[in-house]
Parts: sequence; structure tokens; C-alpha cells
Amino acid sequence: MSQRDLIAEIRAAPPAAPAPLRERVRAIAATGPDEAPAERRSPLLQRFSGHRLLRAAVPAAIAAAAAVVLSLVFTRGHGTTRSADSASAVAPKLAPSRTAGAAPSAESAAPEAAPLSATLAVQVATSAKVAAAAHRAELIATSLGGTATSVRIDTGARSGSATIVLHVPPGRAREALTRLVRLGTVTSEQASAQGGNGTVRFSVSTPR
Amino acid sequence: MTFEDAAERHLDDVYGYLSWFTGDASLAEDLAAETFERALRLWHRFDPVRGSARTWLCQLARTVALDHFRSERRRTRRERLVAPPERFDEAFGEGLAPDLEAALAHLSADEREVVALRVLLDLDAASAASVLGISPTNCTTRLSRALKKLEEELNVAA
Repeated sequence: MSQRDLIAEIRAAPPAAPAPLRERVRAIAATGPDEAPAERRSPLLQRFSGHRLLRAAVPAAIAAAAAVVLSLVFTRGHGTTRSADSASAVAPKLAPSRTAGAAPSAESAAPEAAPLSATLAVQVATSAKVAAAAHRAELIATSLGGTATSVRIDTGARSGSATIVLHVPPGRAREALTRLVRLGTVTSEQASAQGGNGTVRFSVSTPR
Repeated sequence: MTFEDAAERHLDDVYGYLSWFTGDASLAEDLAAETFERALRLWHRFDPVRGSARTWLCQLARTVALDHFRSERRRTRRERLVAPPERFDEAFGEGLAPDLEAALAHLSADEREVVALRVLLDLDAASAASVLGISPTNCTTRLSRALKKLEEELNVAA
């Protein structure tokens, strides 16, 4: 048998996924995000992905560091000082609250400086998706080094709801929120830095 | 493309690749499901500019399979058990000729997966190489060696 025949024979019998596997994967996919990853990415990031972004960022970082060093040397020479307040003034501020289906802002992807506590409610289409979203919320907490301290799921044939209290390391609450908002359509979201301890109260429900 | 579209369109490819890579249809089934679970969690990282969804899913499938084999090796070492021999019955697709199936069983996992990616899934050299983490030249060499070996096995059998 020649290699050409061999290739033709292999291509003639591609393995097809068995029906139970197909069902399993469809169930997994049904809990998934509806939007394409490219739609979530900014045009700038799409243009400068991976190494290209790195190549642009490294010289920019070096230039910025040099500028800071030069400005420090310059200000010391003139006897002026920088107060801690001026540094905190440029630190990103936390949004106190957002409601009614607001899309996740770019802020929520930024690394947080202060511990955070948050409440987030999302809506999904079916009761099956409620259970799946609750399960994924637990996975998100675990993957960030936290736990789900309380899980309450109440699903019927057509509607359902679930409430999960997640505890994540205080510095990772914002990251948890960024991932949780992808589990459904956000109906309300509140984040507070005051007395924040990394607790995220996540609820998911079907439309009434 | 949504995740659901990608899963629907490329499930056969991922399953086919894993069947050939592992040489075990039922293991390939579990690993394929695990691949899509992991893909769902990592979907936000998929960048269509850097490669197709099919290539990305195959890369993920390979990582899942390698993780599985690593943990299996640890488990068998811990339990001091001899690893069961690889099974090849109905592993490569039901319509395959028995002599070709027997010849495939003589290929190494590395050789089987390059044939799966380049011939079965018809990926180009660059995409297959990125799945395997090798250079396109290396990928082409590996494919040529695997096909030659298959051809020889079939001629011996004939």
C-alpha cells in the first residue's frame, strides 16, 4: 500500500464522538459564555497580542522608570518632598455600586489594592443553568484559593435560584467578580472596599 | 464564534485526536469531556488571532492527556502496580481496516498523534507543530517517519 492510499484510508474512517460524549459536551457548553473571546478583548489588545505587546511594553516601562528616577533626583535637588496622600490620590478608586445589567467595567479587571466585599446577582435562562452556574461559582472560588462557605440551590423544572457565599483571599475578590459576571446576565452588583474581607455573595436565578 | 459553536464543531476532532493519541477509545471519551470542561473555564484566554479554535482545543486536549498520564504514572508507582497494557481494540475508528489498525498499534504515541493531527484532522504543519510544541520541520520529519513505518508494517503484513 502506498502512502497516498494509506492517507486516503485513514481519512476515510475518522473516529466520531459517541452520542453520550456528545450529550455531555453539549451540557458543558450550555453553561458557557455566549460571547466570543475576541468581542471581550479591546481592539488594542487584539492588535498587540502576546510578544508584540511585550515588545511595546518593555521599552515603555523602562522609559517610565527612567522618568520617575530623574524626577526624584530633580525634586530632591530642589528640596521638595512627595506626600503619601499624593500617591494615594492617583490609586484607582473602587466603584461603590452598579446595578441593572451593567456590563463589567475595565476597572474590574485591574488588580485591586484594597480588600473588597461584594454582592453580585446574575440571571440565566434555565434552571439547569442555575445549578451549573452555582457549581462553577464554587470552582472559581476554589481556583482562586478560596472556598464556598454556604451554598443554597433551589431548582424546579422551569425556574430556580441559588445563593452562594464565597470567601476568597481579600486581594482576589475583584478577580472572582470578573469571572463570576461571565456566568450570566448581571442584574445587580455591589462592591465595597470598606471593611472588605474577600466575601462575595453570589446569587443566580431564572427570570420570573 | 461562541464556545457552544466551537464545542459542536470540533468535538469529533478532539475525540479523534485523543483516540489516536491514547489508543483507548473509552479513555479518549473521558479526556475529551475533561478537555471541554477545561476549555470552558479558559475560553476567555482563547485568542483567534493566534490560531484557530480547533488548534487551541487540540493543544488543550494534549495537556489534559499528558496530565492524566502523569497522574496515572504517579498512582501506579504509589500502588506498585504494573500498568495495564495499552488496548487498541476499536480505538482508531470503526471503519479502519484490521491490518491498518494492527499497523497503527506498532507506532509510538508521538507518531500516532502526528498522524492524527496532520492526516486525520488535516492540520497544516505550523498548527500541528504548535499543538505538539515542536518546530514545523520537526513535525514534518516525524510525520514522514511515521507514515514510512506504517507503510513498512503494512507491507510486512501483506
